[in-house]
Amino acid sequence: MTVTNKQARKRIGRAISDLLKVRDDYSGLSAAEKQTNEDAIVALKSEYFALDGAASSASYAEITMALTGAQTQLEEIKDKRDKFKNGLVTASKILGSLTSVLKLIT
Amino acid sequence: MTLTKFISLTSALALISACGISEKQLSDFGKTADQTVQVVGTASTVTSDLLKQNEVTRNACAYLNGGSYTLASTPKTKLSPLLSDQKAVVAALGAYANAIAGALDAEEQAKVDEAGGTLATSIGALGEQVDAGAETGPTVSLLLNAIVQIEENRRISAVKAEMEKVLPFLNRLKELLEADQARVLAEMDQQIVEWERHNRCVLATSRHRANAEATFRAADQAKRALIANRKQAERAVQAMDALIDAHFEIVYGDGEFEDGLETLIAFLADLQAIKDA
Repeated sequence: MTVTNKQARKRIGRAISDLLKVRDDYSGLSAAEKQTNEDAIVALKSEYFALDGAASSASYAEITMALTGAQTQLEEIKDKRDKFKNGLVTASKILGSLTSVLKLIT
Repeated sequence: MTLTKFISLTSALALISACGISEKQLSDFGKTADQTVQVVGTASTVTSDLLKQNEVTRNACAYLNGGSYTLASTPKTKLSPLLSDQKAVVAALGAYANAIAGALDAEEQAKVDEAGGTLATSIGALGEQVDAGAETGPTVSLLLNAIVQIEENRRISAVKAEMEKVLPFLNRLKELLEADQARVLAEMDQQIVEWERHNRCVLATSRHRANAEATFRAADQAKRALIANRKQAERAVQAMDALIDAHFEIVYGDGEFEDGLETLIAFLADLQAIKDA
C-alpha cells in the first residue's frame, strides 16, 4: 500500500502527540527512558518537517504572510459559527411567534 | 421511540461530541501562545523601545549639562531590517494566536449549544400545538443536538487544518530565530550599552539634586528589567518549541473529526431506523 506524504505526516504527527503526552507525566520513568522519549520526539519532528518542503526556505516575510493568511481563515471560521448561532436564534424566534399565533387561532 | 434506540442515539451523540478540544487543552494552548509571542518578541520590542528611550535620555543628559538639546527628536539609529522583520512576524504570530482563541472560544460554543436547545424547545412547542406526536419533541431535540455537534466538529476540524498548515512555518521561524539569535542579541546589547551610558550621564549630573535617590532607584529598576528581558530574549527558540509542541497536541491529539465519521454514519442509520419504525 502506498502511503502519501500527507498520510505519513498525519501518522508521524499522531506519534509525536502521543510522545508529548508521555512527556506531560514523566513520573515513574528512569532518566534513560525520559531521554529516549525526548530523542524520539526530536527524530520524529525532523521526519515530519522533512515531508513538507514548502516552508523550509521561507523568509520572515513569507512566514508573516502565511500567519496572516491563516488568521484570515480562522476569522472566517469564527464568523461562520456566529452566523450559524444567529440562524438558530432567528429560527427559534420565528417558531415562537408561529406557535403563539397558532395558540390564538386554534 | 424505544428506550434502546434512545440510548443508542444519545450514545452516538456523546461520541460525536468527543471530537472536540477540551477547555484545559485550549487554556494551556492560549497560555503557551501568549508566552511565546511575548518571549519571541522581546528582542525586537525592547530594542525598538530602547532606541526611542536612548534618544530622550541623550537629550536629557545634554540639557542637564547645559549643552544643546532637542525635544521630541527622532532616533538617528533605526531598527535593523532583521529586527523589523522579526517585529512584523511576532505581530502576525500574535494575531494568528488570537484568531485561534476566537475560533475555538468555549463560551461562544456554549451559546451555540444553548441556541440549538432553544430551537429544539420551540419546535417541540410547535409540535404540541399541531399534534405532531409524542416522539417529535425528543427526536427533534436529538437531531438538533447532532446538527450542532456536527457543525462544531466541522469548525474544530477546519481550525486544526489551518494549524496543521502553519506548523512547518512555525518550525521555519524557529530555525531563523536560532540562526539570527547572535545578531539580534548583539543589536539588543548595543542599545543596552547606549542606555547605560546615557543614564549614567543623567545620574552623574543629578547626584546633588533633591530627587537624586529616586532617579537612581528608577534607573536601577530599569536596568534590572533590561537584564531580565535580555535573558528572556535568549529563550526565543525554546519558546517556539513550546508553541510547536502545543500545535502537535491540538492538531494530532484525541478526537480527530475523521475518527468521528463512522459514529456519525451510525447515528444517521439510527435516525433512519426511527423514521422506519
